[in-house]
Amino acid sequence: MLDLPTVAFYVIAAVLVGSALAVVLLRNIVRAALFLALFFGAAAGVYILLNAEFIAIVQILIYAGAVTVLVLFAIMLTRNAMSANANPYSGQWWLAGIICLALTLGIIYATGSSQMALLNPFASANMASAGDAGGSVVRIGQLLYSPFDYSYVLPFEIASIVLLVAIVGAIIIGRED
Amino acid sequence: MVTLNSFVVLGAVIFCIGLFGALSRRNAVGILMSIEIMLNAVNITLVAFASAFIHNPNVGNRLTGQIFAVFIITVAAAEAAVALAMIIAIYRRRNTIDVGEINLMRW
Amino acid sequence: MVDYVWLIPALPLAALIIVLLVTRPLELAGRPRPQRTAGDAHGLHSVPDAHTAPGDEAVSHEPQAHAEEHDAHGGAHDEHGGATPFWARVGSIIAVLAMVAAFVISVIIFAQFFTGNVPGIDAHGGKTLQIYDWVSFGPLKYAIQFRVDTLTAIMLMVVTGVSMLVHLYSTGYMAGDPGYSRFFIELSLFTVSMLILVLGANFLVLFIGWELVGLSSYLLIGFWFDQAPPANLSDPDTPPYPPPAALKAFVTTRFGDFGFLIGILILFFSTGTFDFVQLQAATPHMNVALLTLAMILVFAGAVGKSAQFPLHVWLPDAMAGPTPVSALIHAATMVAAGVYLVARLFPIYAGVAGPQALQVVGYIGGFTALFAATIALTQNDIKKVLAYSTISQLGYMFVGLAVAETNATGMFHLVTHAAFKALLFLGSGCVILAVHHIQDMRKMGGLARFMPITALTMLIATLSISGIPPFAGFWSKDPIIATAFEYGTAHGGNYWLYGMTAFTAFLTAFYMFRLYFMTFGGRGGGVAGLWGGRYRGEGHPQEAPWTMWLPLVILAVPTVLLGFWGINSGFAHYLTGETIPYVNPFTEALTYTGIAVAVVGIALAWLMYGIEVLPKTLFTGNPIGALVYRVLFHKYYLDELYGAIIKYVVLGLAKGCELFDIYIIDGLVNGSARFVRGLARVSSRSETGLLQNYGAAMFGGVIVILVIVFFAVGALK
Repeated sequence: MLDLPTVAFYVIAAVLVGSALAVVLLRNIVRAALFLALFFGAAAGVYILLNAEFIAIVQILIYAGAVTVLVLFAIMLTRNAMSANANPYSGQWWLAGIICLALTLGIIYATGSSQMALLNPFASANMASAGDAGGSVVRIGQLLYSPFDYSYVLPFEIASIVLLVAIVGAIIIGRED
Repeated sequence: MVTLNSFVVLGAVIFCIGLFGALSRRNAVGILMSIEIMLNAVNITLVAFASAFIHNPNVGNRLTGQIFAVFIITVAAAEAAVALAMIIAIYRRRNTIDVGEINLMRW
Repeated sequence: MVDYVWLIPALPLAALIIVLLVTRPLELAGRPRPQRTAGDAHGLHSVPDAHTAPGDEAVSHEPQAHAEEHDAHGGAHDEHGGATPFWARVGSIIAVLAMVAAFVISVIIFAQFFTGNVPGIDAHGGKTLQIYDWVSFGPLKYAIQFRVDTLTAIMLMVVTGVSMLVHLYSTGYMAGDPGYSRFFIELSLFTVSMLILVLGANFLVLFIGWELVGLSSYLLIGFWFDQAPPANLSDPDTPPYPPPAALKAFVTTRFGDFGFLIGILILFFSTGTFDFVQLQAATPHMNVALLTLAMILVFAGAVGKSAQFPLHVWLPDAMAGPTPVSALIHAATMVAAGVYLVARLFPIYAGVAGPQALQVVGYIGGFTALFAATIALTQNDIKKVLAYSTISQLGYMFVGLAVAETNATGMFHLVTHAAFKALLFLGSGCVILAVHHIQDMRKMGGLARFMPITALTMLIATLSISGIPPFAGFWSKDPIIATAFEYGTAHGGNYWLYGMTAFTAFLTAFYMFRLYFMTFGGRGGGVAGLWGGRYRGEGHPQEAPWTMWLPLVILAVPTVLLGFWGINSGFAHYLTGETIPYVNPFTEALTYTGIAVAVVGIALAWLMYGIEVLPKTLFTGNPIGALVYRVLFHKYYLDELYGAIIKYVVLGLAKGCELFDIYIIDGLVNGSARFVRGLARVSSRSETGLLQNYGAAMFGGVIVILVIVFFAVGALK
């Protein structure tokens, strides 16, 4: 059935896998970082395909925006560390390859034999049952902040403390003395 | 026919690609990028599950997957910041970020 | 008086303690300081001991400061020059008097048993006296008890009597010896030990005595321990050297003691008692095969102590000790301990254990008798001839015990043998003293002219041992031979024992008279070569002092008269309380063949050594005879064989064990350590310090868990 979601899925999947491979395999670290940005963008595309607009936007903002810049800054600050001709892989990359292959196959086999695998993830037009007209954003807001209904307020607050700790920690670790 | 399984397989493949990078890259920043890939793969899987069960009345909160993904993104960003700070600190001390040379815990 | 039997060992023990703690320290304190003058050999007799202070332990062998003048044949004293110190004399007199008192008490006790006048006698014909409660701990009750019955009484007489005479004799023989006091201490120690052995009511006390006599024997054989070693130690013609001889005696008897102990323990663990009387009652309930084995093992102890084949090798070497020691220990008493042991246990041997036990006793005894007699034919050392003669006669005693129905036959020979063998040894001591410590008979001859008393008493003893009536030896040897013949008839014509004993009688007569003629007689002597002749030695021999010939005369009396106790089975009746049917030996043809055989032996010796008409090379002239002579002279090369066994087998085994220990056991221990270290070296290579390796290992573990879960839920087969 070659309808739009299916085609979109395969295209985005191809981009995703391709850029991931590029990040992992490229010798030049800067080019790898740029492919990482592409990867984040393609992931956002996947989220939109799954009707998770909020997550998609957040992904772009944070990952493709902040994290990529962060990585590029780090690369810039550690520019002379590795010569361009050096072998980017450690000695036991073959072992890592075997492990990864085995893990992939294992997971695929495990999920393939399950009934749940046949669900259709593309939401139907019945989005009204999932939330109101705001789409998923409203619903996520309710789930995060609502003081009366069941919500994840506490984890949210803790996440903010984590961020605080991370900021302080990064500053302390990274400062020159 | 794209099913939930396709998304899960996609997530698995990307996860393992990221894992391969984490285990075999020598550049510390490269390892960090591979870890980011792994986290994103997990996110994809979670969001896929969330939208697959959105019509299932037995599931309590049908957007739990997306909430989970939000938190993961948060923590991943924090972790990336701290990790990069560490890499810069190590670079200042040892003038290398080749993890093959940072082996003081060797026997 | 039987209740005071403990006085008998107590008196010599008291004498021992007095000499050890009182007179010997006084004597040592009185010795002058050493004079270190060069080249003054003979003046060093009363050489002091610079190292000893008064009160030093007497029985320790203190190093003598200067070498005494020792002849190669032993004898540390110059009997013509050195004087015995006053306190030493006092000590010896105390010892002699103690022995006389002990002998008197023994006589009284014996008289009581002889007349059957013992108050409080129990059903087994004796009295058990409790001396000391040794262990009384719950079910374990071991006490030191003395048992006195007819057997004990006669043994007490023998031991105290011979010991008393030897004590008296030693005051003369050992005069001038620097170790005079030590000799009497050790002599008294031996006497006490032997008495404990004889008086023991159970195996514990007997074994205490057994071991103590072994110790005393060691001390006394090695009495002249600082004698100069001979040039060639393994030449059979040299006299034995004391230190190795003492050790040899101790170690060889140890072999026997090992079997002895195992036998005692088998009996104990089967019956729960050590006591002789209780054992007699309990052994019939034992498994017969086990009992027979135990009795044979107990006999092994007798084989060691009584110098039977194959543990006889120590006795000729024990002649390294002074002659009184040889007389007391190695002729009359200690070597008779084995015979006493079998006699004491005779009811078990004869009645309860299987016939194999007594067969072993008899055949070993008979074989040893013959074996030792053949060796005695060739020896030139007077004491060695007597030593082999002792071994041979002990074999007779065991044969006597094995073939008769009571232990009287063997015991009678023990008693008569004690008398005439002690006489022979003491007489030889007089001879040795007279010719200045030469023991080689080839350098003697015709001594009867110079030492008539010695010669006459020794002649009587020699006639006795050859079995000529009416002397005692005949009355004790003939029943043995006759009973052996009956035993043979009763056992389907098995006349081996008879043959061995009869032929040995011929050999005994021959070699004893060879000894007599070579020493006292010779060609040209009076009474057809019996009395006097050519003296082949040097110097002027003279008769011994009265302290030495008086015991000879005293011993000659039982040698002549004791035999008559055997008439009408008097001795057997005394010993066992039963009336034994008596056959007058002079009515049997067997007796006359025995006498004839002895006479032939005497005649041959007379022809060869008395009037010397037959050449001494009569038998050894031809090549076969020479070969036989050489084998006999070297004692069948047994000493060399034992030496080779020890050197190659025993030490070889030890070497093997050592190698096993070094290579296998140490190898295992060191090897396991090395293995662990190698394992650690290999395993520590996984600590690379590289995080990626650890990460890879972690995910490898994840895969493993994945697989396990697949199997668990049945997804994979």
